[in-house]
Amino acid sequence: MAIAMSKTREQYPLSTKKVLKKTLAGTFIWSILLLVICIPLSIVFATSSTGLANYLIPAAIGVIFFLLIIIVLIYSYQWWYYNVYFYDLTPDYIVIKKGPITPREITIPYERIQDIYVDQDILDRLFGLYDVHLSSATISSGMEAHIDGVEKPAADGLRQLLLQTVGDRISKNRPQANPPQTNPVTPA
Amino acid sequence: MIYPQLINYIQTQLTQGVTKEVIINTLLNIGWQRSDIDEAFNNLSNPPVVPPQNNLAAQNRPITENDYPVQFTWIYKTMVPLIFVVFFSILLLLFGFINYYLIFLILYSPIHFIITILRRNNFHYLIDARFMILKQGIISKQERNIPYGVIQNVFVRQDLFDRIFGLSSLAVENAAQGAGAKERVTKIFGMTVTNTKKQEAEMIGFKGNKASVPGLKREDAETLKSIILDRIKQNPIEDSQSGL
Repeated sequence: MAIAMSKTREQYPLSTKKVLKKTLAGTFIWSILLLVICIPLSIVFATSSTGLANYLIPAAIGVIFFLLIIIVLIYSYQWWYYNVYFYDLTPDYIVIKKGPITPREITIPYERIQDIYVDQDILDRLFGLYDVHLSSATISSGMEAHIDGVEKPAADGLRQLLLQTVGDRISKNRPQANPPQTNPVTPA
Repeated sequence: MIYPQLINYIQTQLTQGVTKEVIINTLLNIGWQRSDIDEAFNNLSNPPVVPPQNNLAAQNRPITENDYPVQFTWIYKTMVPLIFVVFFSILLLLFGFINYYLIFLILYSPIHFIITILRRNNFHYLIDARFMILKQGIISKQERNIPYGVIQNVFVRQDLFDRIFGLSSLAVENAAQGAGAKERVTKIFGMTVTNTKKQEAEMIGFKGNKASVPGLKREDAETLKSIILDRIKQNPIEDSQSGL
């Protein structure tokens, strides 16, 4: 399906490595989950007196197969997520829209942006990705308004662009932008 | 913006025979914005009748929930999960699995239906030129006025059942107390594990720092969002506290 494109996304694109990173993270969690479930079960089966011990190897193959299916599902979901991810810096506000199944969109006017920070978690460091977070004065904006999975040039560019735009916005508001209210002078 | 005194000046100048270019240059030299000059020229034939202080009102008539109503299908949408649970509980009860909680749930569901209808009927919003006025409350009435300058974020969301019913939900947040203090996010190796999204019951009205209008038609939500963003832009706060 088509990528949700915008001018900002063309300039500072989301990296495709993000899909890999999310897939890896999901795989990791699922494999830990399966290990936690399967190892005690397999010990129970192996030590049981009935012939359940013979089923261990087919069961292990079944579990690995299940894991592979899960990896494929996670990978396709992450690609879908990557395609539907939309962010745009319009002249007045920034809009970020994410979520293939349950779309969530947040719009923050530039004057309300309180801070901009960029971070990396451990898997991000592996792939060389960054998360750019924006927040306004609410807690939920800090969680929702972020563009994650951009590479360094895009992260720096976004940060610079945002700081510059917010700075311009705020300094424009300080001197009165309204025209003089006095009646115009009649020409001589 | 439309400035009636500017329009009057231009009209008198034109009747005196001054050319348009000279008028424009004069006005630009003393500090008028080109956009305002052009708009005044466009409004020469029908000048606005409102006095200058209220010239915004002509463009911004108050918008109420009658223009963009909460659809009745939203009530059905909120009932759908409950209906599943009730159906399941009835099955369990038929199989002899008696549990008082299940019985309570079954008896409560029509009450929930009625309460949701009452909530929707008692929720009113008015989008005025300078404030947003929200009223809610079935038995005890509450009213809240939110100036546009304090609106921090605008959210538009759809969950799974919203997509099926063609609805969308709009929420506006300011920086008031109770700003979502119970929301916690834990990240494990980059995967966000949070238990707050699922427990977020969809509410109609305002609570804490959030005012939410669910159950709007998709296009209505987008239109309302652009109206609110427009008002935010027209009502800038003079003193920014961002510190940048």
